[in-house]
Amino acid sequence: MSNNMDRVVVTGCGVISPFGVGTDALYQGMVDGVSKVEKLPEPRGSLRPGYGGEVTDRPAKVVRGLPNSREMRPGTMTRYTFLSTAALGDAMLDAKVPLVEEEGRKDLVPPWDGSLRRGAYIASYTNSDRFDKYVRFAHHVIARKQGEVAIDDSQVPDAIKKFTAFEFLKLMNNMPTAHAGIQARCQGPVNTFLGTPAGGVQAIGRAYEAIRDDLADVMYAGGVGSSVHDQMMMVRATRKLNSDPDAEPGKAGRPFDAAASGIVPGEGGGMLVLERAAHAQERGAEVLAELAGYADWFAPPTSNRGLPPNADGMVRAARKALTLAGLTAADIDLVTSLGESDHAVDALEAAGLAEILGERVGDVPVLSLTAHVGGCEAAIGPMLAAVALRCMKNGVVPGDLNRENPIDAYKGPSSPEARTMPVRNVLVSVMTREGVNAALVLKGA
Amino acid sequence: MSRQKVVVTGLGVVVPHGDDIDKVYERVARGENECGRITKFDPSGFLCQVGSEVKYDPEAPEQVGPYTVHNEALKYVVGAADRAVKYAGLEPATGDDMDRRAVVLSTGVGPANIDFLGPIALRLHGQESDPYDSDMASFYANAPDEPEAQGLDEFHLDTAAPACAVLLGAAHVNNTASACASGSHAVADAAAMIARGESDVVLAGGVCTPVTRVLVPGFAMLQALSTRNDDPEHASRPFDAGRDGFVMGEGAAVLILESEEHAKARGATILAELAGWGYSCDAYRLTDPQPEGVGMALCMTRALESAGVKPEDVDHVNAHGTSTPYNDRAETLAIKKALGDHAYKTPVSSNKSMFGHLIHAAGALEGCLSVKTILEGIIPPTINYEEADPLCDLDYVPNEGRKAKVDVILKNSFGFGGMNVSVVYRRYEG
Repeated sequence: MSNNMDRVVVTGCGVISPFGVGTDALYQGMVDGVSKVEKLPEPRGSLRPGYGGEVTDRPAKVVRGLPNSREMRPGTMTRYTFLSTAALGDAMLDAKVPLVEEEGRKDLVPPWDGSLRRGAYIASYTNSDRFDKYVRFAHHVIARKQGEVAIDDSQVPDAIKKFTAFEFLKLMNNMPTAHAGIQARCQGPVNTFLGTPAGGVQAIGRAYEAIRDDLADVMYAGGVGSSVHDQMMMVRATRKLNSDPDAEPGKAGRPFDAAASGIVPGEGGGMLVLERAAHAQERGAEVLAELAGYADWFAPPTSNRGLPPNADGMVRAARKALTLAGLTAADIDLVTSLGESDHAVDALEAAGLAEILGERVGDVPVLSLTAHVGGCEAAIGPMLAAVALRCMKNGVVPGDLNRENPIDAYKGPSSPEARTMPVRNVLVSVMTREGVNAALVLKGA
Repeated sequence: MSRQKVVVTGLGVVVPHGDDIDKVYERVARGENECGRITKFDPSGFLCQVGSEVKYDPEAPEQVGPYTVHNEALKYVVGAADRAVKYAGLEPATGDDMDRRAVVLSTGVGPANIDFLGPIALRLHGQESDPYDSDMASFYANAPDEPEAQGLDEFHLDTAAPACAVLLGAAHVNNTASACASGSHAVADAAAMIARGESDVVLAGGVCTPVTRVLVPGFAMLQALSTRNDDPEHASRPFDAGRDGFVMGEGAAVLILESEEHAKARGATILAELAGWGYSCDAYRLTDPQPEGVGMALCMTRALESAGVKPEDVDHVNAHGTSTPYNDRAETLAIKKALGDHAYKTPVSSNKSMFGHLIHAAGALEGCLSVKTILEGIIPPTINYEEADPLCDLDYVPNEGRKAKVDVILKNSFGFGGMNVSVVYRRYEG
């Protein structure tokens, strides 16, 4: 534990979003005030709300660094694994980490250069994106007996043949991380974080701890999310969480706006390359920022699918992360948010922001993805962290698309246009309706 | 910052052998089997017809804070967590004290149960239409209603870890998954949180209910499961020459980990020390372990180093021991790499021979049994060991438990996708 207090820095970031591959594509789209929330193709277009921010292209070339394996091709991956491998490959390129294909090493005999000290933590709410298959399977094996629906087990052996063996493998929820372990040649700690949209920030935070615990010198960490597939859209439709199906898609995502009507489906992946500062210095890597503090806080909701009673958990997580970073709210130039575009959740989050930022709440811009690409679940924090790194570098913060008439609880600034301003320190905060809150602090290099 | 010593103060299980860890251990130490022909549905005609099921109705709270315990998996994990918290003599923390408590829970496979999908499919398609040729647009256009939506929730089990956090009064929730390594992964992550001073008390474990009409035939298609359907009681046979795959098991297991300082201050009974842990990734293939056991050996070595334990100090290896041809061979090689010549003198046994593979709960259950082994001094056997495999040539404690003074146990867990974790449990000396 001698290196426990070593500084951890960010040396790369990768994104895949409806704008395409690359942090710059998402950042520029946000700066330009563009929404990629569009009508979804049928039959998903018939499922409420019928639109979303979707990554429409899955070319194999997007996924960098994977060995040429039968098991590991974009065509055999779930959406989640594809998004993860694409974001990770992009992050590795950004950090100038040699890709396996460029090393000419497609063999599978460890160790590789530095692999013993590399790891990956990736978050994903689920890895199941083919709900239709389950329903078809179920239909094949049900029978109505004396007015009751029953399963006819004798039909199962036939029905199961509609799946391939690979489908059971690829649906396992550790698959994004398992791919990452192979893709980035990691022989250190590798794990998957499940659950809420805060998972992506938790994965980054735990990766930060892994470096400080001296388990690794380099950690790839982030999250992926997709809610444009049937399973997630139906779950939300039944809970009446989706946005108004009659809304104009590009205007549907309205974080902290009075006209918000609910969650907008979206998808994407975000990944950071974290390094021990000494390791980054040794290899001459460009340091984008220091990851200076991380904290999470769970405050249970009031009912099974209800909301937390207040923003106390969000505030506690943010304040703890700031304290660990040696900063106060006065030092923060930019906050990234969940910005779910749901009235009740936005009001809770806005109250939390006001408490965290205090008298500065009117000055600090609050970034959100939702208007541009929809809700990206566990990718929200990592994608916005990547965008924030570009804000720090370029000194330009995207405007607040569709935040035309802010709700009363929201006391922050709203600008339709991008802002030119210095960004030194960023609070990446993800609060969730489930009560899990996570925050991390990026400090200018 | 000095590293805090981590101890175990509570255990809780809801598993095929029962829901009282002391009695479960007694049965396992005697080599009693719980694998058999699946009873939850009729598996006739299935490629694999063997499972290890919870055949009793465990007691568990029906409501935990805001969370309704509405399915089997939740019942198992809430039941196990409730038992572990009581075993440790803890009350839920409140206010700022919650900051010092955390949950790390693996909830990989939910029920994935098609039972709840049946009504949806029937309503949307009717009984006459061909499910594979029918127009799926009607399915998409008709979202399921509220009770059916609760069924959809069962895919995710995302209230399990928060419910455990309410039971403990914890302000930190981590829901993780590394396939078959998950249970030990949760334990190791929890120990790290205590060791670095982040938490005083962490509830760690996992839950899995994979004995379903979807997952049993699905994993059989992956050729991972035993198809010894004519002799299901002997289907799980780790390290035996006749092994042909693992047996799906279900249940939940949880450990309460604490900093020694915190446990002593409140006068808790300390069951064992969690002395070290190590992680590795094979970076090899999604389905198979690296055949030379490189990654497996690496995490064992890292765990021993973390514990400050020499290979010759290891008294017993509680193996991952799945009963698949690949795993058991690679694990044997890896144990030899990690322990050197001492491997041949070390009793290695697989608890899975008796209750199959509880996937996300396996490492935690076997961790509970490792703690009991240190306390009770009987190494559980590897049952169904009849014919030696020349490639598996260690002492697998065949068929009968063995009395021994066990101070140090190396517990292995290895997952699909090449995620490996080893944990060192040590007798607590005070």
